[in-house]
Amino acid sequence: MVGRAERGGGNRYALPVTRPAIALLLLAPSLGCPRPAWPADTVVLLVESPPETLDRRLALSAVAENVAGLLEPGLLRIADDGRPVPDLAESYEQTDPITYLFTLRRGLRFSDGSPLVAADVAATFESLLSPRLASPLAAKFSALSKVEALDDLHVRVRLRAPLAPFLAEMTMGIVPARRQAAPGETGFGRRPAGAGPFRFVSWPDEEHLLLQANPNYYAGAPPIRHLLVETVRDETTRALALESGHADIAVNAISPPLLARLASVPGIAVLRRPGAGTAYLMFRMDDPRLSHRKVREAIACAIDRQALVRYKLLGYGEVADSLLPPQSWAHGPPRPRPGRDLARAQALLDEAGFPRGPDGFRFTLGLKTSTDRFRRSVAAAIAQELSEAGIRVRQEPLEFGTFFSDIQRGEFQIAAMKWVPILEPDLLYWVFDSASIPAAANGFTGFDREGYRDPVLDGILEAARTAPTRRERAADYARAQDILARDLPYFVLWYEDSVAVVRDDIEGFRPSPFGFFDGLATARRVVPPGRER
Amino acid sequence: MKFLLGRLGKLGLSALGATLLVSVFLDLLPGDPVEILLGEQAQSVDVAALRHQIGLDRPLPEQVWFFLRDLATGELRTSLPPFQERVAARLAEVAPRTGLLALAALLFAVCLALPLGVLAASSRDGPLDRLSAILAVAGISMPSFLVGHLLILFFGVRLGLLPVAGDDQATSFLLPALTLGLGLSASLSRVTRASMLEVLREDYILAARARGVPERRIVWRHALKNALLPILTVLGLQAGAVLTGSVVVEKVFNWPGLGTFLLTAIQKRDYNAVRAAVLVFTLTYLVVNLATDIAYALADPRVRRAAAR
Repeated sequence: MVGRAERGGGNRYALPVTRPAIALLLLAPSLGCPRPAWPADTVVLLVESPPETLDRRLALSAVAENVAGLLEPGLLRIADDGRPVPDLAESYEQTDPITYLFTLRRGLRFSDGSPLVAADVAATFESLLSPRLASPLAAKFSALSKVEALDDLHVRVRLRAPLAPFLAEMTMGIVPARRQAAPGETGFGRRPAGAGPFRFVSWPDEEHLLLQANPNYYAGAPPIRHLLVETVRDETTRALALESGHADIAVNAISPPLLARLASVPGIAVLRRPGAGTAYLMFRMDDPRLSHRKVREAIACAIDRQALVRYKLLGYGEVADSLLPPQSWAHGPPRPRPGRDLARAQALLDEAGFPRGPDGFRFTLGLKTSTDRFRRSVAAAIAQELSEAGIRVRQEPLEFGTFFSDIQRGEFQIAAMKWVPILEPDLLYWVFDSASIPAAANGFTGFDREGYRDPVLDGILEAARTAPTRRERAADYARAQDILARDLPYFVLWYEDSVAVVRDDIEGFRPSPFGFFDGLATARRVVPPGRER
Repeated sequence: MKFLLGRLGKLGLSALGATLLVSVFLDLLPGDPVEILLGEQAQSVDVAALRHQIGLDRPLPEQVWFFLRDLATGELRTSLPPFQERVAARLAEVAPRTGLLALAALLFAVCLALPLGVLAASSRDGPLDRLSAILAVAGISMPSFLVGHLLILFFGVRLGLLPVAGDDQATSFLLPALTLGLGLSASLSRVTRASMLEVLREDYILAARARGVPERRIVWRHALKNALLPILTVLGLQAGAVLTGSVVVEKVFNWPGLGTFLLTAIQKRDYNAVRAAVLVFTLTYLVVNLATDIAYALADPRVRRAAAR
């Protein structure tokens, strides 16, 4: 009797959540919305944020530009030394200072099989300047006067005036003429077609984008049959996803502390090569203290870049000697990269008229940086080093939107930043020419947010834009870099390596110094020795 | 009925208040959505044109009015081109995923916290009680992103049992739900213990013991039922913590839910999307609290009678 009562009572005592728990477990698959499995031969590439569009004419983020670059190549591409070289174009020639003639490769086809002809090229560049497309990149093409299709294979490009850096813009992706209406009308950015190594398959949600090898690619379909571009926003999770085998490749998406760990994990290879992205400190030139050249030089002397590269970057970089990376044809011979000299820093600050106060400090400066963990830790190390020279640093890590807004408006004293890989030395014009100080006259474009002015440098940078030969341009840029090393509107810190983390069954992937994903066109999955089934 | 209508009216007012507050905060936030969207090379004329196109040049009250009007008519779209999607469709896509996480987290928490709290109270100051205290302190003090990464490392990488990220497998929800649930279960187990200790001191428990009712029956049937009311209250309040916690946990597990939607919208300064996501969070929180009050009334006749009066 008692036994029966206890058995019956046992059910009554059961926790009230048992049934809902079972129901939830049964319902979870439908609520979790699992998708059909990706094809078995899929290689997973991890990225930090989803591309905002797959239309290269509208792409602003590095992820969007790199992913769209796999789908829509341009007439030219940037080689590892920063020179524009033929891609869809077989060749090009400059027929006069403002005219270029491009010859397309024969038999080019878009991924849907339709032929790619000169009319598509002309239509692409026309659309870039059209208010209907409203491309945020339109300003880059304002030098264009006319793009004409002479026949199916030849395109003539005329400029309004000589502009040497213009060739770098010819890397813009070519899209089919029939789909060049406003993006909202054709959905091109969501379902693109191009002539690249991969073609679009599906974009079921923001986090997953499936591509497929393009059989119509002029260099032949890539060995990777399916490529899934998966967004994983958290860096540690990206590292764990690679470690577990959930993902296969991540390009410049893992910071040095985690790279050091991944390098020791069996089944994972960390591939690196010198990169073209430069980290730097930017000084606001109208600040009462930073306007003194000696103060800027003292800051440079007080910072131990070698130690930062060794201990913060864990060796995944190299101390910089110019904003232009060493791979650039315009970098020129190496410049001195002095180490830390605290005594000189102190002497310079004394000479500049900033003695130490009763609290041991000379003055306080704000250092703005992003909230990225790695960047914040670098800012903390710099603050510590500057404090030893008597400069108290107020660290100001800011969320991206706020940081971007403050930098745009010149609301900073020192900003710790990084230039994305630098492709064209004309960047120096945009960053240091006084015409590039954001103002109503230039529509508030221009990156001279530090407010640096030097009439001599202006003349050199403007001459370099129209110099007829690369040799003359290189000579101009060498002089410009010397002036910048003397005046220090920027203090360049280091060049960050371009690093790819790949599973060891992926072969043939070589990181690009610019962080491009084009190595995926030649990579393949193989079965490592000893793991054959 | 009167009680219910009154609460529903307050719920509507609170939701409106939350929308107004978040609109004011968004307006104060540095960082212009148009500048972020158009990038560094945007011409000031383009910036002005886009600001006009998406209505950012209008006064704040007008912007909020347009938001509410479009929300009511189902025409609300994300603010920023090139893809101005219907917010309702996006929310219908992401909200059930967060709902699943929250429900599973609450279930995990209850399944873990109730037995732990009851057992701790039954063996007060014993080894089980101490162990439960240690677990609770660990659960409360460990941040969810750390718990999440540790769970991924153990179950996803070392054991290879569960997916490390994403939502593309039927079991993908388990680790994020466990992460959310562990934090919640820590505080819930302490509340359960305290509530049980109080009830176990009551006279009717003493009477039951004197009549020879088995201890197991006293604890699980008589005491737990009466100790449930404060637990329910805490559970209702913690629903808010689960929702806000989902923002961090969804990022760690790459779970494409409401938290991820909100985070992305804030980064892009997509005002319509932020307002809509906050509204959904607010409404969910308010509805859960209303449901808790109703459950409270059902569980306790005294509350029911007070509400009827």
